Amino acid sequence: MQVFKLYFKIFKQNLFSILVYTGLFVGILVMISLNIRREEEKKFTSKEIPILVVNEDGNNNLIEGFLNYLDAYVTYVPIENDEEKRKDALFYNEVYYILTIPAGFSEAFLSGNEVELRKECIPNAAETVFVDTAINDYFNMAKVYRKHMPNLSIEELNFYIENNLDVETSVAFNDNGSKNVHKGSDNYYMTYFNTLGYILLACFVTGVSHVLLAFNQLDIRRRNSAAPISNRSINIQLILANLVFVLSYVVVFFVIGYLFNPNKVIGMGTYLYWLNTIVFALVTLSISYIIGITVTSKNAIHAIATALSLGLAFISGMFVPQEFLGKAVLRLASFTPAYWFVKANDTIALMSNYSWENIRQIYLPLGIQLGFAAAIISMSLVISKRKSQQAS
Amino acid sequence: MIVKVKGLVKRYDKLVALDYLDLEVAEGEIFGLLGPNGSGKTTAINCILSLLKYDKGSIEIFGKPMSADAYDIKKDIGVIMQNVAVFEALTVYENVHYFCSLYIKDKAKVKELTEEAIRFVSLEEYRNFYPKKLSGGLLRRLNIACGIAHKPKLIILDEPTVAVDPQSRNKILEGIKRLNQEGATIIYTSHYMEEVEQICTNIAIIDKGRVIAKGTKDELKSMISIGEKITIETYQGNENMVNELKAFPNVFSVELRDNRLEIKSNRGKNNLVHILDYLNKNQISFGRIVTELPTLNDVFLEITGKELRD
Repeated sequence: MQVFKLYFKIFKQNLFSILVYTGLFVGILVMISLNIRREEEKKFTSKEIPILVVNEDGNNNLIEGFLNYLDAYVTYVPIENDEEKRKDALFYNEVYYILTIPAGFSEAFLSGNEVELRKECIPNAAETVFVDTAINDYFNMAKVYRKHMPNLSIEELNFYIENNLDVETSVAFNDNGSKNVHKGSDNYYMTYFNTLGYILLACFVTGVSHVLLAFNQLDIRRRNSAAPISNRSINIQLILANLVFVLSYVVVFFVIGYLFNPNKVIGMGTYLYWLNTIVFALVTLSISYIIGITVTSKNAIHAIATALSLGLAFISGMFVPQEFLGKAVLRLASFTPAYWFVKANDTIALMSNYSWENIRQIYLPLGIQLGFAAAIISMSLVISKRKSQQAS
Repeated sequence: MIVKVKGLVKRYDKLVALDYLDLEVAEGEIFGLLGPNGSGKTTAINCILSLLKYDKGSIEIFGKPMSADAYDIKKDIGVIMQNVAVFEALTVYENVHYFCSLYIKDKAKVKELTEEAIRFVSLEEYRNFYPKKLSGGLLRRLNIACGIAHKPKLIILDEPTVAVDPQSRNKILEGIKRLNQEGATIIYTSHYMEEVEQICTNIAIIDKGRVIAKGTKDELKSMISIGEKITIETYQGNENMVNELKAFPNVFSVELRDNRLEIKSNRGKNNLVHILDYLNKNQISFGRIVTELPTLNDVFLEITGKELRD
């Protein structure tokens, strides 16, 4: 196992870079953890949620009554009616919810037709659910009154609704309820594992590619080939060493992820995140392998590690949720394994329960990632064979 | 024979790198493979080591056919490549230890041999240095230590002194002689004729992938007509003197260039004495006199019509 041991000796040289990435990640992790804790504490308190209302229907009694009613739950934030500014406001959490009342809404509603309000919101934010509920309550109640008391004026309608909905139910925070706790944990894990994707890319490309670069120098290859050890044995030992490094690294982050988790929960969702991360680690390993056998300088590997990890992280939604990314960016990202890794994490986060039907939803992203790994490994084998032919 | 190469042909598309090359290396000798750059020396070595596939011919080492998976043969061969092949991430000790461990399984033995190899190339004080911190000469010595640590019976050195300072070069050449005295058979390739002359017991001169002459250095030199080269500094030389000297016994070439008289002659006992007599009688004053025996470069020049370093 000389090659196996040598792998880790060479690896030590890159330990500093990997520790820097790891330290960076743990820093981000602390922030995520603290943020999740704050959100957990605030979750069931009544509060006014900042929202933006875009009224395309104009002012009328129905809309005025509705907005007065909603004012008890939200704070209206005035923001210029510009698509970019609205998206920025959501991204920077200036508002949690953007409600658009389309033109002709009031007329259609009062005529008893099917109507729809448009909404944009921060994904997975509990606050948005409260706004949804408040809006639904108002219009459902209005619908009931309109159906059974069609002669009611709008002012009377508003009065009745307000009286009906004014009754407050006190909510007790029950931290023994596993369902609630679990959802918070999912938010944490989703952010954690999405960000981990970036670290895996950066660390594996830095670590694995550097070691392979050393082994793939022509003169070293020749010296190894002249020794009484088969190329097959060298390759098997290298693959084994790569797997040991990658899987150990991933397991360390599973443990760190658990330790930083505010709720210390391990459930089916956690296992699914772990599975997705292991699959992505294998894809990343294959990417690192192809870089290691094609790139010939250390500096180039550093540059590629930085550009690739940051580039993929930004376009695939590791840092910025996919909901906030443009369609063109997402279309481009869908040609990368990182997109499918994030997609799988997001899908796991949205699962309300872990029924077979729900779990099946991540088959496709997992399968696509494995497909990427297989394709990259095949390409690596072709390149490796060509290089050895060129060398001889 | 330790190494027997017969009719070796290697082509790179239309370029013939080895053209029915024949070599025989006997046990205990230092065999020199001398030739200019691009003559096929490294290709021949790579074929002998099965690092390169060849088109025709056969190679036997220790009496057995050599192949890429002939590990029982490979374990007794030490290789020192033209380029330094060491891991930058490992120290001097770790590099030697790693390459030695590819040949020897016993851990204690590997340690012992590693120490011995480091001592052999005088790198004791650099044992914890990384290759980046070593000079070109020290790096070459490390390269050699990596190739010989397992005490091979056959050591192949492919131009091990390229870009090495004279002090390190001497150490390397002395080391090769010592390895040979300790029982190793050596194949040494170089385009430096002085080195080959200095250490090799048998020499093959190679050009365009073909052996053009082989034998001991004396045998090779006896193959050519030139026996002695005499260079005399004089400011009174003229055409008449050149013609008269050409008529001397054994002399076959006289040239006057830049106040230097260059006389080439066949072997003869008193060639220089006759020439000096002539100069004294004619009261031709002269300065420095240099006499040289033929070199392998002269051999190469006479056979191919070009210099070894062309």
